Amino acid sequence: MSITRKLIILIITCGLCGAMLAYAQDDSAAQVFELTDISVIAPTGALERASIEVTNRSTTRANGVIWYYLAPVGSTEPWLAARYTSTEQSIELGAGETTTLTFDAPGLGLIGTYDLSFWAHYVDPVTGARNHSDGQGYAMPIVIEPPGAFVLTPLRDIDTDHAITRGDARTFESQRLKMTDVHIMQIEGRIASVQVDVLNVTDMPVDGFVWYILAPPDSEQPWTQIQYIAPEQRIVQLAPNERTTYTFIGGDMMPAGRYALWVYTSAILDAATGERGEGDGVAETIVFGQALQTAITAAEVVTNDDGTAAMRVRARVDNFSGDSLIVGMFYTIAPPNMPSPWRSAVFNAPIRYVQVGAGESVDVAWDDALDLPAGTHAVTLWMFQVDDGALILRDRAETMITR
Amino acid sequence: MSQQTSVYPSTSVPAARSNVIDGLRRYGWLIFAVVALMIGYLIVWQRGMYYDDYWYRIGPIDPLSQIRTGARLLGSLSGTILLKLMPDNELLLRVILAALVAVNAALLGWLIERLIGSRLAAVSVGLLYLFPVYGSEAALFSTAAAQYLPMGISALLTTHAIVTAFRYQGRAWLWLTLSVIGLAATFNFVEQGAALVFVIPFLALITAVQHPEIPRRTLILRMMVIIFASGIALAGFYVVFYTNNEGVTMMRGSIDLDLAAILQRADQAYFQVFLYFSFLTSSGQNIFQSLIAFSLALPLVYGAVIVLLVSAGFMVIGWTHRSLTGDRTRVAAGLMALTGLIWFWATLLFPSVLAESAALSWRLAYLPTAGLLLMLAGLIALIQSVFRYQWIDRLILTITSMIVIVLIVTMIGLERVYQARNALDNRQFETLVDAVPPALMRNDAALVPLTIDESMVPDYPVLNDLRVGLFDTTVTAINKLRETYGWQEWGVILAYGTPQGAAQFGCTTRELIANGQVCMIGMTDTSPEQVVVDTERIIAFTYRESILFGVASLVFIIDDARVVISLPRVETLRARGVPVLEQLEWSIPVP
Repeated sequence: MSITRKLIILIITCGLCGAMLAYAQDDSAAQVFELTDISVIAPTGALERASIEVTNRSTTRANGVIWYYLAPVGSTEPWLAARYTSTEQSIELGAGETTTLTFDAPGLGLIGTYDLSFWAHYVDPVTGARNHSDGQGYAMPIVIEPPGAFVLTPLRDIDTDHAITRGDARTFESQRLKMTDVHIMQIEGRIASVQVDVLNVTDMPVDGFVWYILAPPDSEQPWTQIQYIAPEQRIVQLAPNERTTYTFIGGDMMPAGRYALWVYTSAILDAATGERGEGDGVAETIVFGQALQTAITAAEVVTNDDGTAAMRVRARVDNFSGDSLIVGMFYTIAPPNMPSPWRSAVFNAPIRYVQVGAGESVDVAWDDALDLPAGTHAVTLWMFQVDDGALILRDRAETMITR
Repeated sequence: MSQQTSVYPSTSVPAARSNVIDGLRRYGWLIFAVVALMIGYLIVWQRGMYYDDYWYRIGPIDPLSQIRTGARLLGSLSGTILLKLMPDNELLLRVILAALVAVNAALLGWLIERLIGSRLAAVSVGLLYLFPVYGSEAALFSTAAAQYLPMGISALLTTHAIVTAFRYQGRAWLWLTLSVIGLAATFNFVEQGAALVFVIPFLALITAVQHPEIPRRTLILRMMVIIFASGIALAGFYVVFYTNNEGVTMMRGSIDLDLAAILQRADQAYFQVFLYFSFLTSSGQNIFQSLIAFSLALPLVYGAVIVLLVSAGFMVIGWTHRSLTGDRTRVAAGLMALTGLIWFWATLLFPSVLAESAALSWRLAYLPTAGLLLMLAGLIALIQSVFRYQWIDRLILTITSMIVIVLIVTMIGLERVYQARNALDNRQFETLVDAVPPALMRNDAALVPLTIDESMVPDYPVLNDLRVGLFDTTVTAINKLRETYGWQEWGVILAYGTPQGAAQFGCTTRELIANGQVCMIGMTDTSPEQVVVDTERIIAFTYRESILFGVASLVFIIDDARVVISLPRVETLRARGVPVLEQLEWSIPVP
């Protein structure tokens, strides 16, 4: 055996010995605290509190810290993959003493199913240095969800009063009937009434009609995209310069969302033929449904440049209320028709919190590295309002994707 | 013996009863005062720390440092010593502070009795001074109380010393010296005490009226000695401690003797602010209505009011009438009313109104309140000298006790506000420490609170503005954080003293943003300044809806364009499971 080879073997042997020694020394620290008996309190199926029993196995009084991690199910290195790290609790135990520590569930930072593991560090009383002492995982995945968060409670405070005042002057030359005032009243997201003041701007009695329609908010030709049309009201022999109020009471409840409400009036040019003159129209954007709404604008599996797959989800949240609100949103990917998809999800996205100003919309984006298994999956978007320390589910949206 | 034994029981019971009644007659006001003091200050004694309390609690007692850098040596010492009782001995601190309030009230009452001989005015005004609602900070805010209450004692003792110096037969050098030392000491507790110099001539006038036997020449001479000697002493203090004092200049600016500027400051910083809290304005009425409602939301207060009514009843029924007679007494009473008015305005305005950055806080109204009460005492004495009936005394006492009860209810409301503020401060702080444990906080971190929700009393929103939050003032936050994070050299920068904790980024430029930096008004130790910080260092957070959120990005508006500034260090918080607001929809115009 050459000298060089002997030297190499010697170095490797010494290295191994050193590593074993270091491990043994570390192991002496590892013996200080032993973690046993994790107990989980989850009356609703979701973690409420978790307890761990800690014993000082050393022969002297010892200080340490205990905490827990929540990591994706199946994580082999939870300290690297942790989605949640609890607040540390300090302990000081005499030789052989045992204590039980209780930890609260995490706050509003995550929802889903995770592996729970407790960890103990021994703290050197002189240097303050921390050494790993013990780690203990809970046998079953744990459901994490804020209490009561998944009860759908729409926010219904769309009580609005739209008033449009237009003046008495004609808006076009051949105009006979002019809408001077429009007053739309909404209660809890429904149209309660639409009042229209119509003025005869000619010097002769005029017959005509007044009606309103609902169309998409950004439509340039709303009469071609009518989503609802109110029954016409007949204007009969409106005297010159006379003004009359026509009232539409109630209206159909439309699917939640933003609409353009167009009010029209039109004079009858020829009583015999029923020919109508050019209409006078005015529009107001209104919202049906609840004040806080969300929608999935995109959900697809994309392939990155490096060939890895990713889940790309885009969502929008609309705040039609009069207050600036903080909302939390996340999506789940689960088999279709699951009653609690976040608990049985293939994937739960991290929650994104955004502030949405009164009357504003915000887009939220996720690009999550995820290789989705083949099959059809339900992508469910959950939108919560943050209210005094709690999450309240305000809306949800769902779409299907096939891989 | 048998005769004595048989006689003894038949006479002792009425004698004992008579003693009790006599005691009630003599000391009914004292019983009411003690009951009022205990109810007013100790029902809600667990109010925790607030604002500067954090600084005084952990600040070392260092007289030399105070002499070198700060002007209020005695105030700093009393503040530092008393605040050491927090938080473990809070009850003891509250008892001591209540006792100091009582001493001031007693000294004021005694001063009135000495000046015009009206026990009724002395007791009425003394009772009212137990609950200085306008100067409530001086009694309830621990740091302020630990300085302003001893200052009040010093001021009132000095006034007594001046009165004694005027009256003393023979050589009064001791009392003259004590007067000058007392004025200097009062100034050294809190500067406004120096304004009592304006009151000295009026005290001499009252003495001249009440004691015609004292030669005018002697009186004038003693008055001039006190005024000039204390003037020299105060000027000396100013030169030694205030000129070139960076700390004072930073807080209050330089002395500005421009008359127009003085009047403007007096108008803006004092009259308007003082009136804002008064019953004369709707804002003041709203505040006091809310305080009373908030106080009465505590069921115990109803029981306390009943106890107070009963003890007030004993006081009024047992009160013994003493007439005030003579034209001299009337003139002295009128002069005392005038003295009170001068006392009020002088201590309210001077010397702060001479400083460029004068500011009014409720604590500054404590000593002026004594002036208002002196004026009231003069008026009571005038009424008493004109209407010499027992029922007038009782009517005045009844009105006084009713006002005292209303003041107590208001004070309890204020105490509950302090309590609520402390609870919210603690919640905000604890959630921050949970989110950012010491191990995560490196010394180069810039901790930036953004638009913190300071709604501490949701049912009475008008009260939310009465107290500032832990993160509203940098020095307060830093001292609280220091306890937990334990830095020797502070490496964290916070936005300085802006409404609702909003950081000021007004000094940020496009160039800085391009360099990955922002400029903000923050501080690294104790002085606010413009600080340029790498955005990589910023840990921004907000507290809303009872939750602490990390903030992932800020929106600045520059020339109507939205500039999004990412704050990458928040990812450390996100990885720990802390809720993170992606983009705070709060923006500031940047030049």
